[in-house]
This record gives sequence, C-alpha cells and structure tokens, in this order.
Amino acid sequence: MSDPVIGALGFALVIALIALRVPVAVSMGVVGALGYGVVNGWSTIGFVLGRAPFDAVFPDGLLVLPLFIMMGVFAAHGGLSRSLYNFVTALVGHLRGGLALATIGACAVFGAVCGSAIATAATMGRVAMPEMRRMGYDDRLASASIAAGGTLAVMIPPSILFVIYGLMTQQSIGKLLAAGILPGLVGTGLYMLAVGYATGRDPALGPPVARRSWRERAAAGRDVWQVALLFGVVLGGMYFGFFSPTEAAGVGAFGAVLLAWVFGKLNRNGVFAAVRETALTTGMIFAILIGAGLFNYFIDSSGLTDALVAWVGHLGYTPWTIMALLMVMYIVLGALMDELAMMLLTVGPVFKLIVALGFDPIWFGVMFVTVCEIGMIVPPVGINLFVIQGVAGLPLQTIVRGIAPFVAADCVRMLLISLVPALATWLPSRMAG
Amino acid sequence: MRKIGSVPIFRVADRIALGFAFAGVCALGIATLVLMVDIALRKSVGFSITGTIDMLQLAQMFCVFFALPAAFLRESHVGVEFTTDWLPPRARAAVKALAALLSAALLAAILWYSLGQAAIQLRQEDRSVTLGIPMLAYWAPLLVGSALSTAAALLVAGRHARDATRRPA
Repeated sequence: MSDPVIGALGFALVIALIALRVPVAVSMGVVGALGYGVVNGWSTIGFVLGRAPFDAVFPDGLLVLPLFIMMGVFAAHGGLSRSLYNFVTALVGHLRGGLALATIGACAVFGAVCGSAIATAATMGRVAMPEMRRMGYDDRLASASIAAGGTLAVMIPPSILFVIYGLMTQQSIGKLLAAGILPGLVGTGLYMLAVGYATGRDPALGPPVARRSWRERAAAGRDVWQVALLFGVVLGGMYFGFFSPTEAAGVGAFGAVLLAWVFGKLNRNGVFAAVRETALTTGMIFAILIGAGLFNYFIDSSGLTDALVAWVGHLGYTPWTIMALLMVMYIVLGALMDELAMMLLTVGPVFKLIVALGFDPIWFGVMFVTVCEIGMIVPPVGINLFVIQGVAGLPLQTIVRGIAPFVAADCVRMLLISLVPALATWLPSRMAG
Repeated sequence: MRKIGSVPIFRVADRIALGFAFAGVCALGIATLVLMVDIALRKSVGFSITGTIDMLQLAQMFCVFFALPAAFLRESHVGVEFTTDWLPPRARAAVKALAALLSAALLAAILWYSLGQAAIQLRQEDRSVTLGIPMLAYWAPLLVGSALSTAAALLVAGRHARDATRRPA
C-alpha cells in the first residue's frame, strides 16, 4: 500500500472515530501518531508524540488566539451585547421584522469584538430571544435570526477561524482579518434581506414595535461607544500598521477587561465565570490544534497532498469547476462536523491545491470561512442551532424551519465573492505594512 | 460541557483542574499587562521592555496546558454526538467510556514521550532567545498539564463505565 493511500485511509479513520464520539482532538491525535509510525517506522512515534504537542502551542503567532478569546469573553460578560441590542432595536425595531433586523445588526457589531460564533449566538440569544418573544415574534424567525447572526462573528474581525487559517497557511493574519470586513458587511445586509423576505411572505412572523423618539435613540446609544472604541483600536491599529496582530489582540483583551471593570458591569462571580470560560475555550481550541499538529505530521510525511494535487491536475477540470466541487464538499462536510475541525483536517492538503490552481489564498480564506458559516446553521450538526436550542429551550426543528432564507443568503454571498473577488481582496491590498 | 457529578472525587478533581485553569489565565493576564506597558513605553518614549515575547510565550504555555485538565474533566470537547444519540443509554455510556480511555491513552503517551524530549532540553541546557529562560520552564506546563489531563480522562472514563454497568432504575 502506498503512503498517500495510507494518508487517505487516515482521513477515513479520523472521520470514523469522530462518528464514534471520540473527541475530534483525540481522533486526529491518535490517527496522526499511529499513521506517522506506519509511514516512517514505529520507532519514530516517540519523536512525533514528544514534539508535536509542544510545537503546536509554542509559536508566538498563536498568542492572538487566547487573547482574542479573552477579549470576546470579557466583552460578553461585561454587558456590551445588551447595550448594542438596545441601541439597534431603538433604530430599526419599528420596521416589519425590526427586532430580527436589530438582532442581525447587533450580532454583526458584537462579532467585531468577539471572534466566536458560538459566544455571539449564546450571548445575543440571551438578550434578544426573550425580547422578540415578548413582542410576539414567531420562534422560527427569532431563533433563526440569532443562529445566523451569530455566524457573522467568524467573518467580521477578529475571527478565530481566520487566525487559525492564517497560521496554517502562513498567510498574513492582519490581511486575513481585513479581508473579512466587506464580506461580513455584505453578509449582514443579505441576512437583513432574508428577514425582509421571510416577513414579507408572512408578516405575522415579525410584527413591528412602537417607533422610538430620537431622544430615546440617543439615550440607547450612550454605551455603544465602548464597542466602537474596542473595535476601532484593535482593527484600526492593525490596519494602519500601529500594532502587530499579537499586540492588537493584547490591547483588545486588556481593553475588554478594563471596560468591564471600570463601568462596574463585572462582579466577582462574573470575573470567575469569564476566566473559567476563557480557560475552557482556550483548552478546547488548543486541544484540537495539538491533535491537528500530530495529524499533520502524518499527512505531510504520507505525501497525500502532492498526490492529491497531481491527481486533480490529471482530471482536466477547470479551476473554477474544482473550486465549485470543493465548496460543495465543504458544505456537506460542514453539515456533518465542526468547522474548526474541518479546517484543521482539510486545509493543509486543499490549500496546496488552491495555490497550484492559481487562486488567491486570502480570497480562498474568505470563501472557506463563508462555507464554515453555512456549516454552523445547517443540520444535523450546525453548532449554532444547538446553542440557540439550549438558550431558548426550543425544539431543533423549530429553528431549522426558520433557517432556510439565511442559508440562501450565505449562498448568494459566496456567489458574490466569487464574481467580485475584490470584496475579499481589496481591503487587504490597501493595508499598511 | 458536562456538569460535574456529586461524587466527592469529581468535586475535588474539578476544583484542582479549575485552580490550574485559573492560574494559567492569570499568567496570561500578567503577561498581557507587561505587553501593554511595553507598547505604551515604545510608542511614547521609544523604550522597549526586553523579552516580552519570551514572557508571553511562557504565559501561553501555562494558559493552554493548565486549561487542558479542566477541558478534559468537563468534556468541553469539539465532537459529534448525533451519530450515537440513537443508542440506548448504557451503550452510549460505554461508547463514551471507550472514547475517554482512548483520550487517556493518547495523553499518557504524550506525557511519556514529552518527558524524554524535556530531558534532552535539560541536558542541552537550551534557553529562550531573549531572556535566556531555561526551555525546561516551557516544557513544565506541558508535562504537568498532560499528567493531570490523563488523570482527568481516566476519571471521566470511570464515570461513564460506571453508568454503562449500572442497572436501570
């Protein structure tokens, strides 16, 4: 059996173990270590098991991950999400489906200080769901708008998925984060159109609420400057070359803790809860990185990537056909497994193929993250569906019944980014440094 | 995330694991403060604190590896559950116990072979680039974290094995 075939069998074994409820990190780690032994000789297992976990955590480029996680967690615990929601509701709540529009808008802005879709969905779910129910919104629209809105956090910087993609593919993290801004805004607009479409077909889904006066709107906007400040300092600092990504993440984490503390929105229990959440999220993500580190040692040594590139080259398809097939594969895979695991499992080999086909790596990163967003709201394992199910106590099928317009909006966005690549590449190309 | 049960050993283990997790995040917090001071000094008076990245990397090692035991004990993993949700409760518990055992085996192997790598670093007296911190300090959290995580995974395996063998009420 050739080494690339062993590599391909390794992929299948990882998927089988994941299906048997073995954690993704452990599945990748076990198969990676054993596969490396099969390909390079059993005596080499000790080296890879002793070295890969250290190498997976030690690089200073990874520092942005725990710092951005800390920033998002403290921003959520510091009450920034409620201020945002109140403000956007005051602006657009009087429109048909206005509270759902406000949810999408608040998710997008909150995503600008929190790089995690799960955290954004959970946080906004606790704020927006009771309000929408109180105003007579249909559970299908209310829950689906939060689940979909939450995914904007992985496109709008700072995005943990972009950071990991950048580290895996040796692309500039700053440029990747900048690349997500326009597609994130387009996504926000399309999700709002999806709300308009759903409420246009059935106005009872989202009845309008009373219009607020400008005085009330101004009052609601009093606390929103904190979010604007955090986002402006972190992203503006990186974009204009004032901070490196690590420094920007450090400033963001420090700023989020400081704002929560200074404005008294974080009591002792809140601090403990935020620290615990930071630790558990960090542990969860780095456990997968360690597993992926072991697995990538195996895949690299198996030569699977080169074999895949050569095989696809022999097929004779055009690059865009291959890209379309890849996107379909990712949508299916994203519906079946976690997006972070999907990235760590597949981006290594696929990236080489993408570059060989002549696609822009930054553009592909944006396409990949868009597919991840779809995966987060598509059953059976769309993670945000489960988050909202937990927060709102709704049957899964209720949320799924409302999600179709938002998935369609994501597909339109993918099409737009394909037709107008500058949506993803223009801002990074104008970046300082 | 799974709630920690009422069995005393789980409560004690959870406190220990959370204690390490808190210590790790605090280490990162302190290093972040140093980074803030460094940025402020560099941008204002052009003075830079030496070795900030060395310190941040050390803090990162503590933050990550000290968080792992709590993540394993509380089963805060990324995983797929729907494929086994149709199983009867005892069979599902058995599958979970096997998965936790596999986790423990991997973590124990990582611990064992990392000990060897750390010993090499100790013999070679390797140090960090700027501050000259012994590299063993960077390996220490990995060794402690993987040892505690192995124990945590074994505890979780034991709990699920108990559920798998318990007669239905």
